[in-house]
Amino acid sequence: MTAKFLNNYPAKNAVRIISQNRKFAIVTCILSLLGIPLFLGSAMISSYLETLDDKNGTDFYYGFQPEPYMLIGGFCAAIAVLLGIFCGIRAFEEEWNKTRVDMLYSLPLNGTQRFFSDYLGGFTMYAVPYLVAVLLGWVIMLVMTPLIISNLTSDQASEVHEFYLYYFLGTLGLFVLMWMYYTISAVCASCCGTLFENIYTNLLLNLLLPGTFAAVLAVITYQVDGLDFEYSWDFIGYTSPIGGLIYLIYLLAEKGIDFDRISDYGNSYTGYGGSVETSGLMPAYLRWIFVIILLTAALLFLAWKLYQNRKAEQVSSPFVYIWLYYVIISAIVVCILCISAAEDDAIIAVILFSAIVYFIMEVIRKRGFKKFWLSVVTYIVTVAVAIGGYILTISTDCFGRTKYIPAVSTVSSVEIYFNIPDYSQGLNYNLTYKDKETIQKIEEFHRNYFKNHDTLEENLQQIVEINKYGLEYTYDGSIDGYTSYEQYDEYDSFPYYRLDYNTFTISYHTIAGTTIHRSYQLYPDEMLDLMKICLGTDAYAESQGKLMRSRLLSDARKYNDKTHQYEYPYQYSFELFCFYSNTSNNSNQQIYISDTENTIRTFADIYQTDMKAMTFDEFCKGEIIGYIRSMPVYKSCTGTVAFLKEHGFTEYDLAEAIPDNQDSYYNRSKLDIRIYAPEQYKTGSLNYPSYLPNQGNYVAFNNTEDYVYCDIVPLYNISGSIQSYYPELYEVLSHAREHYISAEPCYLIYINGSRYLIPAEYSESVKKLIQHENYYYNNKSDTERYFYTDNYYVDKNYIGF
Amino acid sequence: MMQLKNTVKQFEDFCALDGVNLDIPKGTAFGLLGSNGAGKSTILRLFSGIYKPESGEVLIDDEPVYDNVKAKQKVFFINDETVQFGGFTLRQLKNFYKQFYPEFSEEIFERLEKIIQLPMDKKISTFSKGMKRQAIVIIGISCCTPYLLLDEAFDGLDPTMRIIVKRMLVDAMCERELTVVISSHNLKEINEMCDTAALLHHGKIVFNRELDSLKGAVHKIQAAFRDKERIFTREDFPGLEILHFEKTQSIYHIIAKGSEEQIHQALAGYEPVVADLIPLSLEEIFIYELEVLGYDSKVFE
Repeated sequence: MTAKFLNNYPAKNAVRIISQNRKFAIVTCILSLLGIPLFLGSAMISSYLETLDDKNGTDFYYGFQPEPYMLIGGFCAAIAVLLGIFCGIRAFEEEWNKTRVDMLYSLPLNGTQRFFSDYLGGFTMYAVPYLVAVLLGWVIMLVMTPLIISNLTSDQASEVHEFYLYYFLGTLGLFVLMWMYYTISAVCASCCGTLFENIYTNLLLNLLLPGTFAAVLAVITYQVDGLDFEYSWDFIGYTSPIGGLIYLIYLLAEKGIDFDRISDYGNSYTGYGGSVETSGLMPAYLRWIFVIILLTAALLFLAWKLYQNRKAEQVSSPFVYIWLYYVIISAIVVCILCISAAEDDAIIAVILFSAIVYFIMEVIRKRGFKKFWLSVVTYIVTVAVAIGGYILTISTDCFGRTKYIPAVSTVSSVEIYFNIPDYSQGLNYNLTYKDKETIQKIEEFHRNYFKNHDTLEENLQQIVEINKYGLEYTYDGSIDGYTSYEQYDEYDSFPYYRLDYNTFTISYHTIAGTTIHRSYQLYPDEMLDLMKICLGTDAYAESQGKLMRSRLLSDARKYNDKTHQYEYPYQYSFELFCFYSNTSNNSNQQIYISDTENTIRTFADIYQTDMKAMTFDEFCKGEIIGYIRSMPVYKSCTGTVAFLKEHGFTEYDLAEAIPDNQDSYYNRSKLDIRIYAPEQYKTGSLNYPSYLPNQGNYVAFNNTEDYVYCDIVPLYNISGSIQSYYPELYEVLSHAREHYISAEPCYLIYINGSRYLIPAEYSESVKKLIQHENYYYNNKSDTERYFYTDNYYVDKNYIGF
Repeated sequence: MMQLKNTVKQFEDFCALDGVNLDIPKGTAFGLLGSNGAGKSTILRLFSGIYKPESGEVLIDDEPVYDNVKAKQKVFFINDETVQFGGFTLRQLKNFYKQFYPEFSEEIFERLEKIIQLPMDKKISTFSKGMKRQAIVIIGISCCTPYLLLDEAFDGLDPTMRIIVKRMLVDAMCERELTVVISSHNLKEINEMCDTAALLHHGKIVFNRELDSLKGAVHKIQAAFRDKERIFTREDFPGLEILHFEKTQSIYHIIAKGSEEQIHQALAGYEPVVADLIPLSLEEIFIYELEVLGYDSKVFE
């Protein structure tokens, strides 16, 4: 069979290509064979020496530095992969080398045979060394692994197998991308008639396609509500080999492999125990690779058809198919124009720059200035189409795509992510729902969002009216006063508008295997509506229980690992996990448990049961007594609290921690109290001021005429003797919460840097405490009207205090 | 048989062949003559399946050539350049073509190689122009295709080697009824090698016939007439296709198509005192035929 195949003309032609380019093929071989094997080999030798040292107490590991070898290996592999363009160019020599046309076209081959044999010859030269290198990598891994893992536990050994899987997926993904990369060079060969155009078209296509898509997506996702550039990677991953490579790395890093471990192969299984989260990896990977294969097959078909339709005499014309040139030049213009979308002031400069680039490319293509007026016309048309397309896309919400919500029956699951910025830990919700009822509710919420959500601008316009006055004066840093805002502005310091929203991301996974990602900014009332749907469900409780279990198990295993001794220096004969109570000073508690794995599983089950029993109101307003691995433990989680107390936990009382005399730890010099009034216009404890204006949801505007500062919140600074206000403070702190989600405005209190909310029903207590405030500039009658905030002064009379 | 049937070949705005009809019977040594850019090389490339005609047909043994492996296997084309073989040694080149032409004869190759004595393992790029040409000619002959197309095949060969190469071709023609199509500006070579020739000009065939009959069909006439007072013009000889007409004193120099008999008949009515008929060389035919079409050296006058 093989002999028969090799005996036919196309196979002979393929062999001819390799034979004629053998020097080039040898270089590719050397680079490929140096690449992966050297990279893996040196990493594994290093790991082997490490385990040898562990076993025998020797010191070989530090005598061998694998990094330089890995760097050389990576470099060689990268160059070998990049040479794909030249493999294509050399294989299709008759398409650009006029002297070879007669010789190769007159051979007894038809167009199809000649194309596929050229294609095969070049690809063999390109891909076979890579495949051999991959195989060598397998050999190295399979030979070295038994030497290294002889002392591993079953869990750790299973990670080795996981690494095998990633190696397989990574190398297979790269192979498919190499195929795509090479096929693009075949398309270029079919479209170009000179070596110069061939090379630069290859380079431009590979760089421009992902670049243009990324630029356009960045502009569109910035402009259109609901789209998030972060999720554009899915799309960019299909645009080109470079985009695909970025996506492959993103996929493996995000959904599976921990890339830190690649440079430390030995630690990939002696390190993090437990299973790596791979649940999303395989479907996403398979979908991606399937689409890439389809796209590459389509490119191959295109290259073949173009090759068949071109004529021998077209060699030496720069572009045999002029449309390719216009695709490239349009992509360049679009890329440049995207800059102007980011910077409005630069529009003229950007158009001028794009025109210069356009005309230079026209001169290169035409090899002169003939019919140059035509270039001017085509440039104008290109810019008009680009701008028109942009306007059309934005004005139609991406042709209605951004508001598309799939039918419930077509959705297999909905993944939701939102974050509530808690003062210390922050609560991240990453939830997946598969039941149709919840999916239905989420979709309704999504539809209501389109109907009811006010735009950012509408919100800001309302804020303008309320806070207008606050902007007129600002403290200039001198002893005696204020300057107008305009003067302040001279120092190029813009006001920051803290926007009252939180990001919410939704992903519909359809039965057909596609995913629709959307990302929105929700205002507090909307966030509460969403939370009502998402929290308090069994699915939520189960996800929390599972998360608690996996986080604790992962840390416990890490603790057991010798290689992580530097992270866990306090090793005893029993296991450990830390429980953090409040973030205030000296409030961390360490709880020690034995029989770690079983205890953790039991604890996680208890936690899950408690979460199931919680109501939505408890999720929002329930007191959190502490966090375990960033996961909140509510006071109402009775089983969890009892378990913790059994293991030595004592509840922390903030009010009790503040003594009434100066001799204690919290003496007067250390106690720094600031109280922020409930914010105007905004709702809920989701809103809170940040110390720095560039933290949180801030947006800077430089047009102070249109918008005003919305983060001007009255601040009361209390720094007097503690005895004078202790009872009021005690009362306030008795109700202080780190976590409190409500639509009602409420006070925020800072004590020595820790932030707490005071539920609205206790606002009167806060007001009593405020009586003890110290104005920052209370000796100036004029300034009494103003309250100091981090940066600005506000007219308290105007605001109404 | 090789055939062009109403074949049109266009290169963008330039029409290289404009509805050409041509038959080249098997076993013929066919010469393609023509001015620069007349379409000679285009015809060879059409026959070798390199170019696709815009319209019309290009047939070899009644099969279209373009994209047809079977038909292309019957043709070996040697173009006017040798740079494409620079990377090969003669042995590699032989092995390369041997793969694609199943009738390749090692025996013929060795025989010819012995005659010419070219180095087998040196890169062809190191050969002289003539050596390169010899190399590809012996490869072409050794491929044993029924049709061999040569574009300026003798360019760069020294006189001795020209004779050797010609003999090689003639031997091949005798041995296996090889059809050779030669395109050349060297009319002497066409004259020596070919039995049939076609003259092309501006993508059209001016004539296509056997050389012997061609030579007998055009004559240079030197004539003087009894009536010395009368000035004769072309129109006085309506029975002749006159290519050139010139009077020097009382002697008329006429280049005309037609047999000796036809010419004598046409002149007889005017009582010629002198009527010498001299057969034309191919070169003269070429020049006078093209002169009629406005392609002559008078553009410099």
